[in-house]
Amino acid sequence: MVGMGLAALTLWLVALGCTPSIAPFSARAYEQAVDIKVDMMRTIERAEEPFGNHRTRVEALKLRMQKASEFAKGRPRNEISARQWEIMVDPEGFMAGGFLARWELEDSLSWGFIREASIQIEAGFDAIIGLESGKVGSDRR
Amino acid sequence: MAESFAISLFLEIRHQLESTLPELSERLLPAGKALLLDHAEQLENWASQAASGQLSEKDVEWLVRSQIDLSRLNALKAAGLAQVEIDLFRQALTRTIIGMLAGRIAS
Repeated sequence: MVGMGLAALTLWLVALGCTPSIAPFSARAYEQAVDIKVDMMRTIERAEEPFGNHRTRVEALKLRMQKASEFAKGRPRNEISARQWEIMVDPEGFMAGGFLARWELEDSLSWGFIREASIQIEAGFDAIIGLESGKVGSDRR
Repeated sequence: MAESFAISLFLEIRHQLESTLPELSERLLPAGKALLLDHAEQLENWASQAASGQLSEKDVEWLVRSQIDLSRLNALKAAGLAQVEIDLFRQALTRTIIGMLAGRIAS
């Protein structure tokens, strides 16, 4: 009887120990974030030029960011990464989405602002990438 | 230099907060001071670029707000990595307990 109780307790502990509270590492999420970061940094460098010259490129980039955000939202126990993407893509915020929205609104931006904003946005992407690569299952841990 | 800029800024914010929201100022000021001191060098850098005309007032406002978004992203990263560490600890603890229980069941 005691043995059965111990066995049941063991099974319960196995179930408890095997349920992580945060999603494991996703190679797809990691690659998406790195690719988008590289493209975003290259796009930012062109913001001294009229927005209209780069509209197609920006729209494609915004779509990819939206897809990455939705992918993060759709993964179970991935609320923290999903929240990070929301901040990054928000057109009314002050990261990648906000930068692109301001560029579109003002048509072109000053080099001084582009340089400082790119440091902020790059660090923002690094926070997203750093969390993904710190999750269980990543070989970067 | 950067710290003195942050302190001047903090004193100005304290003055405004105490005159407009006196009931909240005591609770908000410590957090505001910590945030300013953490980013004193960055704020000083933007202020001097604004003074030399490299950045507009609107640019500086955008960048200060981006610093807040960046702090949120880093706080989320820290929270996520802390959860990972808790999960790993829980798994290790579970393995240890299971090992001990298995030993008891076998004996």
